[in-house]
Amino acid sequence: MSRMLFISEEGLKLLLEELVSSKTVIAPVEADGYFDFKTLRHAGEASLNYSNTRLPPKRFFLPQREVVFKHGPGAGFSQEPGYGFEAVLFGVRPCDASALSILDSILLKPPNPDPFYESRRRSITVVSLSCTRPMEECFCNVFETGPIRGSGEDLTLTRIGGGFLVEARSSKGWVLVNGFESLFRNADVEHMQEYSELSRRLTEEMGSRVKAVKERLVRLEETLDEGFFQQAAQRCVECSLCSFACPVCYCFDTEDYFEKNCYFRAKGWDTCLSQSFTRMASGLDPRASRVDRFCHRFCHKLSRIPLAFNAYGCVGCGRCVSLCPAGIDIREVLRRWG
Amino acid sequence: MGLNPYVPKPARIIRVKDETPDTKTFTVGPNHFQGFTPGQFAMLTVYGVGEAPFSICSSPLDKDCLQFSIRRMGSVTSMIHEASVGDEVGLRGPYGRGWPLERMRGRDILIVGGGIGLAPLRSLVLYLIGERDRYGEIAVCYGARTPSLLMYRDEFDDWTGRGVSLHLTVDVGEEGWRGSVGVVTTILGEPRLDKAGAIVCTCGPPVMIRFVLRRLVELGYSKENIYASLESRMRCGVGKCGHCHFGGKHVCLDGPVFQYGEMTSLPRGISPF
Amino acid sequence: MNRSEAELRSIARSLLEKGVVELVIGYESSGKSVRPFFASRPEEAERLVWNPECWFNLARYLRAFKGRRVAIVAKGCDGRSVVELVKENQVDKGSVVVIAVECNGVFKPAKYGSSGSARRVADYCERCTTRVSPVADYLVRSDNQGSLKRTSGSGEFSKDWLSMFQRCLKCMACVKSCPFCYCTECSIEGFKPELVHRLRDTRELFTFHLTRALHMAGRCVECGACESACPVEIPLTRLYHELNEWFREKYSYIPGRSFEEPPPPLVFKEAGEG
Repeated sequence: MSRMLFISEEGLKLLLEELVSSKTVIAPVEADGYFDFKTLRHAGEASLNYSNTRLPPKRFFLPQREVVFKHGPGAGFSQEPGYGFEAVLFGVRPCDASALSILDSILLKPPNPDPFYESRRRSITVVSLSCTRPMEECFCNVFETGPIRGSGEDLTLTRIGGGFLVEARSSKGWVLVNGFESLFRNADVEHMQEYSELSRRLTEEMGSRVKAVKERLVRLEETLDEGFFQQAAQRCVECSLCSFACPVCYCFDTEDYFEKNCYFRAKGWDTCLSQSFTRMASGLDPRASRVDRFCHRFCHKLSRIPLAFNAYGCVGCGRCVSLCPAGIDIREVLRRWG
Repeated sequence: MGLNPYVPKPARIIRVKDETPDTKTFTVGPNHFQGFTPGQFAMLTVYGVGEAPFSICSSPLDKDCLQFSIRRMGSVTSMIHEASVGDEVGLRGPYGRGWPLERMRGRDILIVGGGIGLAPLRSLVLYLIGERDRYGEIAVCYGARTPSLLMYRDEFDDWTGRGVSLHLTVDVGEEGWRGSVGVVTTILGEPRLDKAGAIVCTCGPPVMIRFVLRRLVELGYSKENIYASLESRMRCGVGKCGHCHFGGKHVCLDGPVFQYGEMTSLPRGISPF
Repeated sequence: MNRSEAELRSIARSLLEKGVVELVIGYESSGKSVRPFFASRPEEAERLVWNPECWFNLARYLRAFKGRRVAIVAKGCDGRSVVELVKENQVDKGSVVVIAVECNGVFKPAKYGSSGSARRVADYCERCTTRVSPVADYLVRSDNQGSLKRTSGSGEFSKDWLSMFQRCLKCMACVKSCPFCYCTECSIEGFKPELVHRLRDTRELFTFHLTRALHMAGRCVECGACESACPVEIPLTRLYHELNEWFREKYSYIPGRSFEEPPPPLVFKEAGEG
């Protein structure tokens, strides 16, 4: 852990105001009964006492749809310029930030890193805010993605008495801190004590919920209890809400189209639960039945992504648990195989 | 921004040849994939429709062109069947793991194909006969449903003339057919090869691969020398879109050529076992 | 456990014990909420629950079981969807046993990242006209004869549909939770071809929702499953209600009211006929 700093409540307000005036700041805003990331027009709009955003900040790095190239008449191929816009993504929860480092392992893996994702990761500074009141659905402890610090952010803020402890996690984080030096000071012994106490309390609380050892999840491949998944798959309505709301789900489809004499290819979010995900033109489909696709979703997240990319495909945010219309709960899989 | 792996390289159709009633071989150029490994594939963009993966069926020793044998099946393949010489296509690749050339020097090689599965194997055959004296006995066992569905028929004499023993069979005979009748597993015993040491490469419909693998082991071929090329739906070809991800392996990165042992740990549905 | 739950469980247990049905489709407890549950053995009937968290329309599952004998726990609106599905030949009345439960309204599910904590009866329940299913092989009366506390009119409803649909993710939860959306390949799903583009022009997404609303007119029973499934709180039932009102005025038809009434779009009458 690098040197910890402290910023007061007032200091943070000022920091946010300064940032909003000079950069694009995206933070959780309350609207229509839930929290979502929106570009701040002024610092007061941010709701930093929020639980978590309904939808993860994944769309700023992996848009639901983006053009990957265009081919103009006579002009040949051109790469679409990356979305890479400078911004500060403020107030991301550690689980959602950890999802970004998981996506890094997948999308930036050589030999063909995704350049669009890469440019956005480079240009967007991620500031995370530790959870002090985890929600009922949360289980970040299983995947070690929170509740205090995640693994994909540039700066971690943790609320304690009177202000926030600040930990710079990357060079981009230090750049941000150094830009506003006067607002920060070194954390003192009392601050650190409060931090340890908070950390201990939260670890205990989270640990009492879902007790699972993630390294054991690879057993899913061998001991795939069809009966268990069959029961849950019966309820699944294959809507794709879990894939879209998941901070890690990254699978995409591509589509080619003509517009104004130019040829475009776009890529966008897809879901492995869809009936045509693995269906070939001949009609052959290695995952033809709903149960097969349903099992794959869990195997993919919990044992196949780890096998292929050395990272877990779940951060324990709890969105799928809460939003699934049919009440399908990944925690049951974790309790049973973890 | 870094290199964009999603942008195809432009190429033109140089020649179109009818192989069977529903399959054509397209020769495209220039060859953007110098030095590819037989068994690798390309993502071919057919303008107006989209992209799909196709095995390269020409030899890497051919520096000027690439060839793809394409069966009319869905939207992309139907569109390319309407294409003519001179039409532009897009190419991305070469992707995937090809046949294990490094293990073939000095050994006997058995090549088993079914239907259009001979396409990635043709690339291997042409490569091997291009440097024939480096390898032992080379045998090709090839089966199709009917004689008119046998691919590359006009090249067979050339292959046998250059030191490849050819064993053909069809499921259903036709008038004038004097060769074997039966599925390809029935002729697997014909080639006289060093079974324990021979490298076996096979490709064809999934059900064929299943029975061929079983028969090969029965005949005495070693499991660690058996390789099969599997197919899958693919969207990106570079292991990022998730469509070909099975059991921790991506068919586009870790395949399409898989060794026998690797296939036993693939999930049901894609695994030939 | 309340009295209606006890009655429900006993009916389900008996149906399964006697082999009258293969499955009872109902709800079971899941943490603080409920979720659909398929009971296949008599002892599993003990897991069935009935409370205001039971928002999901279980008729959605019926078409997968066409021809097989199943029982379904149905609220008023759910029962009406069974009637319409029978008229559309998606469900075989002879093989479905309807266990009607008297409903006083349901809560919209408590969702992730909600601001505000008050649980309110769903506003689509406030427009409810059928607390008990019109088709019932069994009837389980409610313990509480009064209605759940309903808020009085939630104020002026902004009809700014365009900005509401801007939030739409095209996640298809609304389509997939609906008993009536059974097209094997919905025209707006997926990419080939992408008839409705999400980010090119959000008005296109609105076109989908309008088209869907038109498909729903005269069929939608306003069970609200679509709205409750929606992750971005789009008041879909309100839109379908408006169309249903138009349909009702034009054809004097209310979906799910009776088996005998043919759906107006299926009726062909010569000009001049009554």
